[in-house]
Amino acid sequence: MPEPIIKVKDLRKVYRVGMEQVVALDKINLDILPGEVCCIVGTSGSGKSTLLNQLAGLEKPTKGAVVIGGRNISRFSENKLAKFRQKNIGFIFQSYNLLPNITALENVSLPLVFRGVSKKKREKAAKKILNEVGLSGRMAHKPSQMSGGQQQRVGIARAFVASPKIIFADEPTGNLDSKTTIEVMSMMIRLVREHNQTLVLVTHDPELAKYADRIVTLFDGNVVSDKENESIADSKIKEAQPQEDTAKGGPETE
Amino acid sequence: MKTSDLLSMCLRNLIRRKFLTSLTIVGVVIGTTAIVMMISLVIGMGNQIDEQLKMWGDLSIIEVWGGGTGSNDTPLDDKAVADIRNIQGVLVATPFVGLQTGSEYLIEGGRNFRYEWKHPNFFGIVPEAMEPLGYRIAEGEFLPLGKTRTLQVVVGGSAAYRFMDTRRRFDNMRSDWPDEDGNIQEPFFNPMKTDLKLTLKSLDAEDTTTRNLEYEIIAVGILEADRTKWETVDGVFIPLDEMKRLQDEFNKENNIRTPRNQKESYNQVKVKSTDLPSVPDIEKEIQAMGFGTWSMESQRQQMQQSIMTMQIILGGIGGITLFVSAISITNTMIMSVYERTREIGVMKVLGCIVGNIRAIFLIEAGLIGFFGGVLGVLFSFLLSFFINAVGGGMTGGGMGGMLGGIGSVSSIPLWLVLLGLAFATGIGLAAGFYPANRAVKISALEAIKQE
Repeated sequence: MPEPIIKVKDLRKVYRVGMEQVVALDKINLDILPGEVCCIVGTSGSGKSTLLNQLAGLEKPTKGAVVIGGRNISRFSENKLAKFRQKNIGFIFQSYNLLPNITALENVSLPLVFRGVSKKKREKAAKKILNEVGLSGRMAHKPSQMSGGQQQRVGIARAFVASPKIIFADEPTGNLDSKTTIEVMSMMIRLVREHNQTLVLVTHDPELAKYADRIVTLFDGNVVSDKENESIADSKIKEAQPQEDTAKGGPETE
Repeated sequence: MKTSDLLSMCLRNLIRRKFLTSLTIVGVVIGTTAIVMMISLVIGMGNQIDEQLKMWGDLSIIEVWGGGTGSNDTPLDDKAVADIRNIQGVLVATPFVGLQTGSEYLIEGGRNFRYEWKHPNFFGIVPEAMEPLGYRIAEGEFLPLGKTRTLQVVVGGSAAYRFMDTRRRFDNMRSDWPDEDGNIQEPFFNPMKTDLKLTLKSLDAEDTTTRNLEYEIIAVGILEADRTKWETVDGVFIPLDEMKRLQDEFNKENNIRTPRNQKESYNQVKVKSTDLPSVPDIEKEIQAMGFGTWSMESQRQQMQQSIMTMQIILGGIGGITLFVSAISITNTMIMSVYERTREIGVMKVLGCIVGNIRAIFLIEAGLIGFFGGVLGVLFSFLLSFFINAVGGGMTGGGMGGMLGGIGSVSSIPLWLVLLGLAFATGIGLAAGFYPANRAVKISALEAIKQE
């Protein structure tokens, strides 16, 4: 068994809401292996989004630690976290979170801008990944000129452009219709597999769990089930294969 | 992030919000223009005064006048002059003594003493003081230092033109002013190359017991005429001791006696200081002795003082304007932070370090200041040009008669340009400080949740 890339040890997060304390995460222990596609599911309020934020270092735990690649990121300063994210983490949001005033190409280049990569190099990388998500014809478009599915594909390209080891996705298909959801999901899975990356996906949609190697279910801030997805191998290939074509030559790109 | 990326990102953000950015820049333009114009006007004023003073003459000469001749007054006599000479920083001090006759006196010269000059202005001064007082010799030399057999004088540069031909009734003088063609006439003669005779006529022509006094005089030098000092034009300088002898002999001949209780006191003494900074101290000491003083330097210092006061007041007005524009920059930037909260959050999540976020907002604010500064300086040049074109002639009335329409009213030297730019940019940066900190403190998580 390989060394886990993400280790969560006794993680606890308590929010203070007025006078009350809300326990978002009680005591989470979780190991995620490199190359794994891990889906965290749970009802609203189960703490799944909080867990993802903890894993990505967007907020500090009340107790416990998140160790990524052997480094306890819970202890990092904000700047160190920022630099850590630059190199190791890609993020996909439910509401895409593209900057509205710049083109798709520039949006995708953004993580590389923060890393100080030269314009020539980062545009080359951004073009390459935009091609891979099937948006070669939309590079100069601004987010407002694109459909939701296209915007999310820009979001995916942005998450992958710096070749991070881990991709976090928070309800990536939450704003998309079912057809586009399938496109986007299969594209994400394909990219993760191709680049041998780890994907941690948060969703309340049990349908998406079909794509995962492993399904972790949260309830009231605790892991209530953690199991391998048996049907994965077949369904993934079955579902992902035809969608690839759509992504590359689908109607949206023309 | 690379600096070039930072800059281009900031520029794009500013351009994106064209209207708000330009309004804020207008504020800075007004502020910068106010401060630059205020200072430039004060500089212009100072320049005008300096130019004026140059025309007035040597700044380091102090004029001293007498403490009166009454019994209770300190007389401005030889002893007082000697005391003044001993004050630290005094180069020379000399009385300026005129000839007091009450009757006609004249200098005659040329062949057969055919030309005469009535009532020339005599100045009896200490010969050593001539050169330090700034008089320059055009021909010949200064007054002799020791005693001489004949009376030796130095005359002003245009003295030769003051002689009148007594054999002619018309056209009997030569002019030292250029005619229509710019030609200047030659005088009748060169005073240094002719015999001169000074006659002090008796007070009462009817009285046969008194004689006219006649002296043979030699002009040993001619001064360079300096039109700002009229004594160099047609004055006649005599050694102080000779002046006193002439006066005594005249008084004796005409039976003029000074009243016993009246002390001897010079009307005027001129003092030259070794340098400008010691002028005020010398003046103070002389005033403490009981005499009045006047110097260009103290005049200049007074003017400088009032200019400085003006500078502070006008600079203050400009400063307030710039302060107001700083507040508007802060306001704009805070709004910008609000508007871009989500964007900032996304940037943070994507790995933008805190320093870069801060830099973005500081640079944006700094750029607003800088652009405002550039436009403000340009606008100031324009205003300055108009003021100088229109207002040049009005200063005479506006700023008091002393400032004729000389030089420019408003002057913007390079240092003022740089100061204006630096100030505007600095104000921008300072104004951006608080908004930048706010941006830095935004929680990435909260920001990206925001709709």
